[in-house]
Amino acid sequence: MPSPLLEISDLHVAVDGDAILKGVSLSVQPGEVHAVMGPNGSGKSSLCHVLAGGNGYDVTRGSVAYRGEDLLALEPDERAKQGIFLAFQYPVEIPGVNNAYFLKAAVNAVRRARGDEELDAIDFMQLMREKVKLVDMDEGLLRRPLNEGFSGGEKKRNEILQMMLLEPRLAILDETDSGLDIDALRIVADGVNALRSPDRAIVVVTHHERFLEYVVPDHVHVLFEGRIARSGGRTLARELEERGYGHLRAEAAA
Amino acid sequence: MPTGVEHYRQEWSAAHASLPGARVGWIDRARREALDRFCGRGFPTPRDEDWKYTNVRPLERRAFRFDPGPEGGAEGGAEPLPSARRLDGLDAAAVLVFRNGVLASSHSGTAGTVPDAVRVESLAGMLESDPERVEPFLSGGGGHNAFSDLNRAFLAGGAFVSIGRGVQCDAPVELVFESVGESDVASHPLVLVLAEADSAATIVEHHLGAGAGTKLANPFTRIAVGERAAVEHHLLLEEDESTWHTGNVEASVAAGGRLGSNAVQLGGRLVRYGIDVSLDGAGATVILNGLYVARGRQHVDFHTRVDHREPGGTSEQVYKGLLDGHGRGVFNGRVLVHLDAQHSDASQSNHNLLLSPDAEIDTKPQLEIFADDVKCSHGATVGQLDERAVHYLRSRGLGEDTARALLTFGFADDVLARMGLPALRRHVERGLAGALPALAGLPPMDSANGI
Repeated sequence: MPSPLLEISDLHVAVDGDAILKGVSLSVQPGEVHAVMGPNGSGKSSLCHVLAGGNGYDVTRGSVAYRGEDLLALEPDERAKQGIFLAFQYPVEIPGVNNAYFLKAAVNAVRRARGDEELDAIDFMQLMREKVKLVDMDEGLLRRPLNEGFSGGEKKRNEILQMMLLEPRLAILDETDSGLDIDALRIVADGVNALRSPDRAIVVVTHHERFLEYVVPDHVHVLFEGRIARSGGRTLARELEERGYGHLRAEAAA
Repeated sequence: MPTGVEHYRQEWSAAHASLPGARVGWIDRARREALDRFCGRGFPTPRDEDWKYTNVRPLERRAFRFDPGPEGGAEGGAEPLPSARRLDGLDAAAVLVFRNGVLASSHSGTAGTVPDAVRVESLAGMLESDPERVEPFLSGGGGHNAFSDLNRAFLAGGAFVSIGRGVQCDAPVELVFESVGESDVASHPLVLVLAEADSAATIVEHHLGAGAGTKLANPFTRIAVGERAAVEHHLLLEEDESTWHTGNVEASVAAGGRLGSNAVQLGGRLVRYGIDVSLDGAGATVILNGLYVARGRQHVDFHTRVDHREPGGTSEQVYKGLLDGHGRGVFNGRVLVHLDAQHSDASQSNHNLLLSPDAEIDTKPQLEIFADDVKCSHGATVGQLDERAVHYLRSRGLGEDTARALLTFGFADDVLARMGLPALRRHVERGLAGALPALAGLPPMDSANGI
């Protein structure tokens, strides 16, 4: 068995002193797609943000190794440079910062870190146009300030566009499917599937079993009250769709 | 040598008889009345509510000399400032360059594309040759503060721009005011812009200074926007670190007319700028955008006043400030909605970014509403960068310095984009990147592609 890309061990995280994650362990191999499901408030978003280096998440116990190194010791931009990408559930609106200018700066920052040559404006525009078509995004959005005034769907497409341009080794999608209509859902799923490769892994956080019909996971985990309550294969998602999370509450109480 | 008010009275006594139009009754009267008002109330002090945060006492203690000299003359032997400091790619229809308030004919001209009904010429010439044309706009008004009075008392020249009825002047008119040379020189130029009904024009007023000498730049701009006319006024203040700038704009907008006032201040030791706009006709629109930057020991003070006098007017103000080092900023935005101005829509926002712990800003919105069926809003913020935005950019691989530089730049560029003049925007973007250490980490930009 190859060494895991991501190894989360007994992770405890608190926000403002409240325990949110209470001992999460998860091992992700290269080439795998993992889905994390669970009711609201179970800690799914917190798990995503801890991995991306968000502010305000205190790791009180446990560890996270990424390619065998301590991930938690890295600054957020260092993580991105090493191939971690989080598609935000609520992408931040940034007035005054041109979307294309930002994308080029991000792509070149990551390329520089990988030892690749930076792209000039012309090469970058070409690459961007190609990817924009794949996510079926209005090209006009590239000339607008980053996410400002974008609809919910446009923001999600812009996240997927960033993911495609940055070509991460580990992509984490925090409810990227929520609020999307069926066509947009399929486009986002196609984008994710296009990224699948033997040396990459994807962690999909979702509420909906439907998204997993498009992005078929190798493993499904249920996060409940800060712990992984169940893990299983593809069928676990269907079971949850049918039975809900209620029985987990009963199991936890028992 | 006397200082303060007495100094200016003596200067005036010696100069007034030889000023252009001195033998024209209303001109002489307007100058005398302005001088009397100025001498009567003296320089403002921090005890005046409007000058609470801006102390001009050091300015009062100096004796600035007023020496207009002949137009198109030797220009005091001063070399023109390098053209690199001018706006690149503006493609102006006409350019007038003033040095210490005096028209330098050898550097002025038209591009040959100016429509016949557009006049861009020396105001000093107008005061002699056609004073009746400018009388309605210069015989009264102007008494906003000590400095606008001083400007009127020493009215000696400046620019006259008029756009005839129904004429669209697409290319901008560029007016350059250079403050150069020795210490204690004062200039009081006046810009008069008359846009007749259904006309359109863009005016760029660029003030720039050079040299170590302490100077006083005290311009006054009067803009009259006719019915359904549209004027874009761009003001760019790039004075040097030893220049005090105390300019004022007074504008009136007739029914259905539209004024865009875009002010950018990047330089100057102390800048106090007043913008006073009156919506005089029904359905007038006024869009005011401003960006000011104070760093080192700079002090910048923007005072705006918008009077809604007739029904259905719209005014929208967006002012942003970047304060670095020991820079000090003041913003005072006053909106008056008069009794008859029903269905007015007035909004005002002022956002400030403090880039250093020693920088300061005082911001004060003032809404005075006398009509009952109006929509008014205001908002002011003072703060640092949004940490969620910093994190978002960092999560895409941008280093912390780069992320902060990008957000700081975006904060300013947001209002520059609203101004709608690409040549000015590019010029100011470059100016900002050079002026603020906080922007040192900005990713390289390919200006041809805007990325």
